[in-house]
Amino acid sequence: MAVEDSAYGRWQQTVAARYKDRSFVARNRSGVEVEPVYSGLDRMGNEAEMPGQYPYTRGIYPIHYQYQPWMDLQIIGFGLPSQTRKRMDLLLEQGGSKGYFDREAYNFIFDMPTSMGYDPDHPGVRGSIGDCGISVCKASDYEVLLDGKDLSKTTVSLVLNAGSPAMLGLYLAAAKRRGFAFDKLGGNLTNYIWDFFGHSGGTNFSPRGSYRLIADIASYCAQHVPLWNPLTISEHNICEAGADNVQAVAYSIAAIIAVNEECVKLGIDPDSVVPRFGFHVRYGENFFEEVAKTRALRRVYAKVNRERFGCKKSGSLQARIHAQTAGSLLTVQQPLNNLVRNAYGALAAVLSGANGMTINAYDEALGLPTEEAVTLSLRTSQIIAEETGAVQVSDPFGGSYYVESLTDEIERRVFEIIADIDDRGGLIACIESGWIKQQVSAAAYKWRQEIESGERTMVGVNKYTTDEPEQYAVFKPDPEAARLAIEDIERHRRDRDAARCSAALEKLREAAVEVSEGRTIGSVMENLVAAAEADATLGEMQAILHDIFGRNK
Amino acid sequence: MTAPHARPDASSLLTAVRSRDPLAIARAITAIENRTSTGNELAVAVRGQVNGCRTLGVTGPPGAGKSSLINALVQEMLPHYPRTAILTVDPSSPISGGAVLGDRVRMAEHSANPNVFIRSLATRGHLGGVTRMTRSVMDLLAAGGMDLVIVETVGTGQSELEVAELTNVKIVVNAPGLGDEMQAIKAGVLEIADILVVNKSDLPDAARTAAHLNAMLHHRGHDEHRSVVCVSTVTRDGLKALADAIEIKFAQLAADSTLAVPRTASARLLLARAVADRAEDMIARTVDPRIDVLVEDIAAGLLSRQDGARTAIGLLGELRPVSNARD
Amino acid sequence: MQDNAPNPRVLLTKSFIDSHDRAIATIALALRDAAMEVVLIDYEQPEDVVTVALQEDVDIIGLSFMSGGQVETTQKIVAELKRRGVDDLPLVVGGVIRPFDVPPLEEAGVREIFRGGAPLADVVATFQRLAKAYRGYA
Repeated sequence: MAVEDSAYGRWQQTVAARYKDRSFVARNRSGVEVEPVYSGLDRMGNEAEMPGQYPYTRGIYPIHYQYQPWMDLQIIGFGLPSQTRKRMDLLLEQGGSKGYFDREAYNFIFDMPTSMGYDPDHPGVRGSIGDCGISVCKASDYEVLLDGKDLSKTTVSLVLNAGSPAMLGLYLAAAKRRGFAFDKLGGNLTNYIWDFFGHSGGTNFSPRGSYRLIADIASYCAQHVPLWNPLTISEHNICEAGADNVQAVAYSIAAIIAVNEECVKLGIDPDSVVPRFGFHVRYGENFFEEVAKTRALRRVYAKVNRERFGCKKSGSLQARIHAQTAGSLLTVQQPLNNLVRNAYGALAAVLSGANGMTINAYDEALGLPTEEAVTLSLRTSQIIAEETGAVQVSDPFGGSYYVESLTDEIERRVFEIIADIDDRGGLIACIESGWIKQQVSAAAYKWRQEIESGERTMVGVNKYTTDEPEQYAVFKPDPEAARLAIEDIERHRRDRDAARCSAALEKLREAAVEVSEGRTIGSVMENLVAAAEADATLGEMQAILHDIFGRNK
Repeated sequence: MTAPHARPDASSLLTAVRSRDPLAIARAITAIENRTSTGNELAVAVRGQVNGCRTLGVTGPPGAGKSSLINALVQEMLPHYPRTAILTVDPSSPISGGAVLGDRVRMAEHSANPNVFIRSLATRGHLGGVTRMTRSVMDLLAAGGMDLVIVETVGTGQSELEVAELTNVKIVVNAPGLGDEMQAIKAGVLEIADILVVNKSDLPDAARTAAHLNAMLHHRGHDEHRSVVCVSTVTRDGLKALADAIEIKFAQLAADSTLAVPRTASARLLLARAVADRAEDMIARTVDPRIDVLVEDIAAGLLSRQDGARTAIGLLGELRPVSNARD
Repeated sequence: MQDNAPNPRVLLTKSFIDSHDRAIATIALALRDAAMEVVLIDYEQPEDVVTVALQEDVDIIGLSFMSGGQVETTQKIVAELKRRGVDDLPLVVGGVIRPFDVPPLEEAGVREIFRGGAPLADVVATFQRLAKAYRGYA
């Protein structure tokens, strides 16, 4: 075919004549060169693909929002369980907390001690109790937090780091005490123990210990809590740590590969656990790139699970995506600008076909969100869903020369990075050697230097700045929370059946040794539930897991 | 007490060092590292002190878990060496001269222990993995009453010989799954290792790594006195055995001082390294028009580095370096 | 070396339970590129920060906060600096610093507060200035 005779060829000639040698090629966040205009010639040879078809580039459902809107999950959690409960009731009143099929849904975040698996009376955590999340350390805390809720109709998302395994034990024990059957419980455990990208330090388990524990939890849930999602791979966290979009997608897939390899090694059929894995993806920095990365992520995930791990169930090939707007792009300067940023990020997520949504509060860079800000986040989602018409068409960018081409390019680069990681001995070896950390830190530093030089604009930060004094309401955590939490746990330790609790913890230790040595799988989670039922605390269970699975050093 | 930032003179600093004041020890190390006149005076005053305490070198490839191993090993050895110092050495950026020193994050368990003194050193442009002033810093630590000084370096294939020179007993740490790195350290490592450690022995491939190392030792024939020890900082398996093996080496050295002398092959390399250091120092600190011409010609692409080096070596004997030391 | 003054030594640190380390890692690289030697640690007890600062003989301490403990931790570190006789060792804090954190932090003697978006060049210049003044090269 003679290019000159086509529309593209004529366009090229006009451009060359009119603009001479000037280049209009730009670079996006991941360094992909972006042409000013795309045409069909850029993507010859691709067969047509429809939404809901392998490899799910265009979405995991044939018909998406027209049938099932996304789930709004605003982040919630601060202070004591009783304080968070009040905020939950307010959110519900305002039309939030809606899960799929009329369920209520809550996205709980925990204070740093809880998130990392420490009790409030652990020395060294005092200043952080109830700050930036709920303080939870025992099964009975859920009786306060979810008092009166029908847990078979409530989706609970537990967002936390190294404390994840023990926290699931607390939740399941609380549900059991209240008589709910495990096969009716729905929810998520983010289980960030897989994340060695943006976190450092010794609070996490050793990389190998982490991936063994993930397999243990996944296999236990597949058998006993089949509606529970035991793992969220957070592309969002990797971006927030500073990686670019291509890196973040590649590392997310690499984490899935590491989990699947661990499962295969232990004799677990990937098809029995993979359908319950999900992703958490970040939006809000580069609109089209983020739409394309989402489509590429779905495609690569499907291909890897089918081709590399032989998965056959359609659920194993469909990447469920929970979207969250970018937290690290929220600015202290001119904080109302963040409302606008969040809205565009959320729109990118919707046009990508995300399945769930968290829109950050515009005042988050200042501290814990105020009630007004949380409400505005919810309204943003509602406006996109019910005013903009963005939900009328599935994969509206499908066939866009630009987005399709970018999707292919991101896919190509992602496979390149995955091959590199394979060559370096796999993800865990790359974590242990420090290579991953170096890659992420270098990308974060580069981004920061671009801000400094003005090459990258942040409105209100390095351009269009003002000297206005700040006068925004900032939520102030309750200074009493720490004292009350410590008194509460001391009382709890006094009142419980100490012999029963120690016996349960001893059994947990034995199970942990068995699992760590590869003789069995699933029994750590089983014994975490039993220990939590026997009133063991989060920190007590965590100490045992740290002992056996090692700390990240 | 004087204002903290008022830097005391060498003799009062030394008195405080000898009374084991940790702040004085820390500041004396800074002075030695910066090669200030106080530092030089201190280095001279404490020279050779390190012979009075035991020294342990730990090296190995990145990812072998050296820092974690030292952290665990110190717990094992502390009863015998109540006062222990750990020096961790990381490379300086060749461009800026700055450095990020992150090893001690893995030794957090000892942060609160006043008897464990940890110091992070940057190589500051030195060719190998150990800093030029490490020996003097070790002398200073000994003067400060340390019973044991541990030096951790990254095994880049260059630095092992320097660790060999610095410490009584040398352990080389390896771990399963570091295939390429293991090949890389092979060259220098067997010359200097007293004990080969396979870390992360809880991993499935550990036995194979140990077998491989044993085979390498066996192949060398005459190295029957060296051993391979498997350890896990997770399960703590093998830590006691490693501590015992180190003790036996210390005892052998105490009984037979000739063991501490480097083998001929090592000595030759050490000499070469020392010559290179000296040359680097002279070139860097000399103001001499003949050197400047060479530098400019290389920068302009008129002269190859190799040819420049040949000319510079001929000039070395005539150069008069200027001191840059100052307090 | 052209400059006679030695490279400033810096301790950058965050709590062992503080989650994301992007900010502290970025600052560490920026300070490295400005020829400083940066010791990085996570602390379990605020007092540990002072022990490390003394052993490493740093010229300045930078504390990073992401999710909690801003005021209480800083106050403890300041008290410990005083107890160990190094109360003029400069201390700066950065990260998520809320408006209500500022007065007590300033009262504790924190020399500078960096919030999200503070220009890296300013951060580097402040570390340099405070470190050199402490060491006596100002």
